[in-house]
Amino acid sequence: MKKCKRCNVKVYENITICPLCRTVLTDIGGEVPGRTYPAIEVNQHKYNIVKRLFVFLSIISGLATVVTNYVTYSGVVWSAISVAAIIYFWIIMTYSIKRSTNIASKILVQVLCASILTVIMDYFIGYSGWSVNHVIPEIIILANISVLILVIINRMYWQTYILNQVIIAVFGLIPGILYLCGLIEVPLPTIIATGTSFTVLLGTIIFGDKSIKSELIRRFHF
Amino acid sequence: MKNKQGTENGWRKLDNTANVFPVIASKTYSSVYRISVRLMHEISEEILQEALNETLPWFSSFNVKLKRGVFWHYFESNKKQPVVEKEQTYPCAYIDPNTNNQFLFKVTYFDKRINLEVFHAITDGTGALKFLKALTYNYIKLTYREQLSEEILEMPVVDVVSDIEDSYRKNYRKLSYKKVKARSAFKLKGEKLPILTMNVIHGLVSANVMVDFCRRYKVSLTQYIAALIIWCIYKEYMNEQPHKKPIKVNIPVNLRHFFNSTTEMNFFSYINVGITIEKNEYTFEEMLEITRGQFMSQLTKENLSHLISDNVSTERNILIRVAPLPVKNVGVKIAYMGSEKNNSSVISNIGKVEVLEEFKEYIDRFEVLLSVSKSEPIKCGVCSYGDKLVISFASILKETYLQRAFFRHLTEQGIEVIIESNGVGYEKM
Repeated sequence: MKKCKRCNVKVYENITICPLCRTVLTDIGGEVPGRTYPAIEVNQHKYNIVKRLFVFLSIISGLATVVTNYVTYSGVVWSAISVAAIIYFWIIMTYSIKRSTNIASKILVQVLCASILTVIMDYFIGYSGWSVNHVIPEIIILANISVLILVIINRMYWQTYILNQVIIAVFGLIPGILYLCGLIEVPLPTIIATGTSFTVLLGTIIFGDKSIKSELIRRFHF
Repeated sequence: MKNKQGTENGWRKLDNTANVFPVIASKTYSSVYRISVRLMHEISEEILQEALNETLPWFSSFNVKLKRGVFWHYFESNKKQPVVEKEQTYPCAYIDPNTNNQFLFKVTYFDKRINLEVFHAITDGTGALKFLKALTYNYIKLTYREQLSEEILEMPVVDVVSDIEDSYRKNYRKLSYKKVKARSAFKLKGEKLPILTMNVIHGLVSANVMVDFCRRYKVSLTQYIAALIIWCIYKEYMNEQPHKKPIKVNIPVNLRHFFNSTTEMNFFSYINVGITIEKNEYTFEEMLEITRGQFMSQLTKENLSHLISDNVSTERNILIRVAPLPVKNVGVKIAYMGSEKNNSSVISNIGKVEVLEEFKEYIDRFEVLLSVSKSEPIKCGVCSYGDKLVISFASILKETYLQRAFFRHLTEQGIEVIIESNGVGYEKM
């Protein structure tokens, strides 16, 4: 046991200075205790060179395209596309690298981001509708099929994919609505996309057992 | 195990206050608190693991993982096993479920001490203490199997089995009352320790001496500590000058006594004791009197019912209910950042810990530590066991002005204090 003359407290630790005021302690005898807390090394200076390099390059190239576009402007804001692509890259990288994220939710994020990206691209090079007519329906078809494969392979854990599956399928109904509003000029991809989405939804309702229903209830409770 | 919300499928909603914690928790503010028990002998990892495996099935409140729904977070029962570890981080570090078998609590040990670190979403101090006690009983039973009688070995470790009702909703009554807008509080500023480092200082005093001492002033222990912390902030951080912002300490209140509940989920609220320094000279006795008065006026069933009503009615609001989770999260973050401005510090007193008579001789003491943040850099946890009252300060500030003034004040009053620290105060200079 030690004592701090300034604070007038006893200190039950094997140290030479007072934890309160840093005065040198006086030994007053008695047993010498061991450590009661571990010595800790916090690893706080993990220097991630790859990430820093990518951040640096992203900002530089983003700014460079904007400046070049501005200086040589000829009616097309093409730099918006490269900036959107850089942002897309970052979302995908951070989301996909993240450990333990459900594969189905990676597909869902991919579907949403890729759809937005194609619409931006289409819009800035003089909207001709290729994004909504072709690309988005094809992304949806692909996503529906991928999740379906996941479910078939991993039948036991269907409920872990169900939320993403339903959201993708519901998202897949949007092109159908656009078609009904007369905004789609090439109907075939849209019809297939909405058709697969509808099939997936219907299949989920009919073939989904108790565990699927319970999963949906907990996911959607409010 | 089943519960009232139909957990045969293994899921349940978060309780009313729990909804906040998953949103605000981060590496720098973990919302994790620690309750430790110190035994008489060094802890064995194997036995502790066995004791944990035996204890967990009794607590469906702890046996969960956190999941995201479309509108709210929810708990799902966790089929994995938690793993006991030797303490290797600072106390109350952020619990990353991905590296913790999805559990929201951690059991660690060091020397003679067992630490239970709990993410606040699953339960409050009362629930955690119940778990820690059961764990300790099981540990003692396993360790001293030969010495203990048959009767003690077969003694149940819990009294109420897994009571997981949301007592906020249970005791919710729609009340209308005048709301007072809280004023933002004076903040403790100073140079910070390196990131993720926490300075821990425990002050050990005799509970009997301290209680007698408080009785002389006709105040409770919590009131005395609250007043003393306000006094130390006034002395050390405000330099005894008037200031437009009040010094406010936030004190969590266990609602179970007031509303007769035994839930293992969260059931607490806060009171806020504050003093605005308006003149140049204050005495400690004056501050003690003001603090006592504020405790008396705020610590009433009526006032606490208002707080519950306020929280639950917000949660039950239909517009809030149908907002998707990411939208809610933004709202909760903003609301929390606002509420954080209202406290200078936090004092949590989990009170007198009572254990079963048969196990008393194996237990030395209990301790409580709270996680701190930039905005609330020093917090105080208090608890007593037998005659051992431990007042523990967790801090991320380099200087220990508050802790020093606090304990010096006690020794000046003739109360003997024994200090123990985690070494940060003198090693990380």
